[in-house]
Amino acid sequence: MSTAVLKKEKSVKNIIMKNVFAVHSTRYSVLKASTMLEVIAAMVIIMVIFAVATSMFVKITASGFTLEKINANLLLNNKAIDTKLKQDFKEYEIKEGEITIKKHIKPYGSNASLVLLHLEAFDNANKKMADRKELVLIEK
Amino acid sequence: MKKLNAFTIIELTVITLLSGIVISIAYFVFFILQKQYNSYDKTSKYQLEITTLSRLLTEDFQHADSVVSTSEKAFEMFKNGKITSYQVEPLYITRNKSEVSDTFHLLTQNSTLLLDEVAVTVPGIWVDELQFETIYHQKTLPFRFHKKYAVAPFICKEHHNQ
Repeated sequence: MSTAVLKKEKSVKNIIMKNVFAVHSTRYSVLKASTMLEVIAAMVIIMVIFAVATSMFVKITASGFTLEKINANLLLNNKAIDTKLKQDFKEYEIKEGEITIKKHIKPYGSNASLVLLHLEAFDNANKKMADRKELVLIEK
Repeated sequence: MKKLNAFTIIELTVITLLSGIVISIAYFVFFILQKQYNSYDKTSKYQLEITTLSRLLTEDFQHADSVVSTSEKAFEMFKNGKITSYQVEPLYITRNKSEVSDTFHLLTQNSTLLLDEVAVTVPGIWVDELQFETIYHQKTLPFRFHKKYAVAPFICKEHHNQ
């Protein structure tokens, strides 16, 4: 191969390499972005909103109709029926399973034959689960 | 040899590993959420069944002129010539009113019909109380419905029997 051909081939190779380098070379430029302070402020706001939303969700979930509350209401219903059937107007506090039931009897106005039966059910953490008020006629 | 801008094999391995971890966490969270949803759905359906049944039985018991046993686990309620009948079975409770039948899929036990706190086992007897328990997730919910009769219907029934 002649030297002229070799020279030409080398120059073509150099041109190709220059173009490849031009295409793949890293070009630094100033990017548009938020500052660190802005990012932190946004994060704090998001965290506050998330915390508020979580507490609201937990409160709404706890205030819903749960099986424990249904059970407490059914137990109070049983106690109210017992009070009316047996005409038992003694106040008491008893524990049935995990539920504590408190029974209060109060006179109703000036009517001696009526009493206000107030039943309350509490869980182990002393949180009120059910409440029932009923007027009962004294038959005996 | 020309050098190309590309990821190294270590970078690719790390990314693959991280992707695997993230995907596995996402799947685990999805699995837990799906389980929670199924459990919540089942519980809410059960709650809806028992609250509806409780409301209907309370209303029917209070408004009925009389409640009469038709068997040890079934009874009829009469109100203005209309009959509402209930059947309490271990796996379900049915309510029939005006050719409309409702079935409550509840596990029940110890269902008892009573009159003056004495169990009624014979058909055709007036009852003033119904007791049964439903079971859900090893929890027992006690149901009790009581009806206070006036004296007049009893006297009418006695006259009718004589």
